[in-house]
Order: sequence, then structure tokens, then C-alpha cells
Amino acid sequence: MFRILGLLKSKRQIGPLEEQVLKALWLSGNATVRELLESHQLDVAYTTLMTTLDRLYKKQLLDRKLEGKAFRYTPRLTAEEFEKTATQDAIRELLAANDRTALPLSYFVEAITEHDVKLLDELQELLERKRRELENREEG
Amino acid sequence: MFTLRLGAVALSVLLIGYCLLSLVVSAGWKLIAKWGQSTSAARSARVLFAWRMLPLVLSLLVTALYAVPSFLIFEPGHIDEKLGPMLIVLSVAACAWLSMACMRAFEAHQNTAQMLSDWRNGSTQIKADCGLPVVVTSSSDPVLTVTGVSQPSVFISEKALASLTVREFEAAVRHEAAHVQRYDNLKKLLLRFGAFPCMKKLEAAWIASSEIAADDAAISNSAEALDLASALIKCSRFATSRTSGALGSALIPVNDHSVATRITRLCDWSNQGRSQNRDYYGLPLAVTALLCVTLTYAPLLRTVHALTEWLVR
Repeated sequence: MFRILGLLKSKRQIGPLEEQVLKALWLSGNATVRELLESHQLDVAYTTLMTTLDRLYKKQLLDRKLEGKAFRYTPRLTAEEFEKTATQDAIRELLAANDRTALPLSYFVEAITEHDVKLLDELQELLERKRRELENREEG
Repeated sequence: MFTLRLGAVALSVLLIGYCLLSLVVSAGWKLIAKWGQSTSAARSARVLFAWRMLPLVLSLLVTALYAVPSFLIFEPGHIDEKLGPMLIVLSVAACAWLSMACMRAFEAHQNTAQMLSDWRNGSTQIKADCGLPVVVTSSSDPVLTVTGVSQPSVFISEKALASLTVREFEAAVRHEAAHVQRYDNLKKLLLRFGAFPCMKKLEAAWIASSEIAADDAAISNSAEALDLASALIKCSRFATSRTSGALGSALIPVNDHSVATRITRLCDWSNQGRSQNRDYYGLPLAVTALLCVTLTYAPLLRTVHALTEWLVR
């Protein structure tokens, strides 16, 4: 039971303030730090909110675009999508921590998350670029 | 009663030694991993595995070389001394720990056998140049894996096989053959005997290093590196699509970045500094250890006996 509780508090999960900020962003769609403070949905200092938004961005839960001197933040997932992903992550970690999974097998690739599809596309592009470079080198 | 006390003392020393050494190992593994970044992946994997197994091996050696002989030599056989409460608790805990370790290894073996049996249903065997039997499974799981310790086989799904070119397939199978040559599956089984909390990250670091070492062993030029990278990308796409249905099959806690790191590394592959260097410090280390044991054996036996006396009372 303690292991399950521990996993649900894993780094993929978010803290109470982060949750409040996300909820505020889901309501407004997108916002800058100042706009969020002016909406009076959050009772926090400017710097605290800025740090929290930055943390959520680093956790890949928000997108951001520079607008003048400030960033405009947009949630990457809807509330429903986020709920689903958080549950999947918790279950995935729980199953990964299960002793039954630690078998003497060597997998070529591990199970990876749905977020990585985009990453795989980028890696595919890199690979094709490297292939072209290699072909050019061999021809030249 | 003498034999019972001997057994209890041996088990207690084994447990205490194992726990203390495991604490040291779990506290110091990051330094080893940091050093591993400056050396080849193969050497890093070897050292990380040795570091991980150190508590088990060393505590067994201390028990067999010091605790048991010191008790046999210095403990008077005719005295009818009863087991103290601490000794009873420690030896029961040691028995429970050893039974659990054996059960974990047995369970891993049974579960693997069950999975192999499922995968072999409706499968076909094909020939490959790697010297390993390659089994093509009709199910989507596993995408590509090598199993077994004494009779290893490569398992690949029909879909994965169809998606790979001949060169990509060969590179991928060479990667799996490298795991076999390094006895990685046997090492994973051995890890089951040495369970201890806080070791997951060290084990994950060893697995990551052993994957990169197998990548290195599978390639000898840039074209092969790109073939292997391409195979990784294709297989990762299958792994992504089956994630929700086969969560339990991931060997280690999910690591989003390890595959990306491997692919990026293969794309930037260069032959410089990737020689398969062997470790030549094993023999000097063994000779030094043997000398130390020989020189300090007699006085240490007395000290160990004094310590075990404290346990018995």
C-alpha cells in the first residue's frame, strides 16, 4: 500500500499549486503570468507563479510562446487528457515496480510513452539527415 | 547445540554484512556511474554490475572465510551456551531473506518459462547468421528480445520483422547476440538473489550501460550504426503502440530517454575511443586481496570471533 501511495506521488504527478495553476489555465485557455494574477484565481506571488509555470513547462505539461517580454503559456493537454495520462503513468510505474516484470530477458527497446511518438519522428529526421550525409561522403 | 549456534552465527554475520555493504553500495553508486561516463560503456557496465553484486559476494566470503572458521577454532565445543535473543532474531531474518531471494529467482525463472511458452505458440523459427535461434512470434509482444541463459533464443514479432530491412534486422540481432556473449540475462537472474531497497537506480544504470555496450558490440562502422538506429526507431514505434496493452513486460521502470539517447549516440557514431578494451586490473586486484587475507588472517579470525561472541550473548 505504501508503495502504491509513493508511486502516485511520483515526479510525473503534480503538486497542489501546480494543479491550481493548471486548472486556471484550463479555464482561460492560455495566459501570461500577469494575466493569471489579474484573473484573481490564484493567491500567490508573481515569482512563485512564474516558477510554477516554468516547472510545468519543464514537465512538458505546458507550451509557451514569447510575447514581448513575457511568455504566454498554453496547456498541452485538456483536463480529461491529463487525468488519463496521470492514471496511465501511475499504473505504468506500479507495474514496472512489480517484481514479476524483472525477468531475465533483454528487450531491444523498452516500453515508451505516447509522448515519445513526436520524439521518434524527430529522431527519424535526424537519422535520415545522417544517412544523406554518409551517402554524400561516400560519393564525394 | 554447537552446530545450531554455528549456523545462527553464520546467518547473522551474512545478514549484517550484506545490509551494511548494501548501504555503502547504494550510497556510492553515483560516483561509480560518474566515472563510467568517462570510460567505455562495456567497462562501465562491468564495473556497475560488480559494484551491485559486491555486498552479496563480499558478505558470503566474510562468512565463509572468517565467521565460520573463527567459530570452529575458538568456540569451545563442550560449553552448552544458549542462543541469545539478538542471534535468534538475526538468524530468522537471514533465513527469511535467503528464502525470499530463492523464491524471487524461482519466480523469475517460472514466469520467463511461461512467457516463452506463450510466445512459442504459433511461432516459426528462421535462420540467422548470429548463431542464435531466431523465433518469429505471431503476437505483437515481444517486439524483439533475447531470452534464456543456457539456451538463448531471439524472439521477434512478425510485424517487427516485416518492418526491418535485412541490414537493420542483422544489426538488431547482433545487438541481442552481444547480450548473450556478456551473459546479461544470467546477470539479471543473479540480481534476483541480491535484492535490497534503494538499488533500483543502480540496476537501471547498469541496464542502460549494458544496452549501450551491446549497441557498440553490434556495430563496426557508421552505416551499421545508422542501421541499428533505424531498427531501434522502428521497434520503438511498435513498443509505443503496444504500451497500454503490455505494461507489465517492461524490464525496468520506464525510461523515456534511454532509447532516444541510444539513437542519438548511434547517429553520431565514430570509431574513436570505442575499442573493446579488456580490464587488466582483475589479476593484480585478486593477488593484492589474497596477500591481504593471508597476512591478516590469524589476527582477524580472533577479532571476528570476539565480535560473534557479542552476537551470541
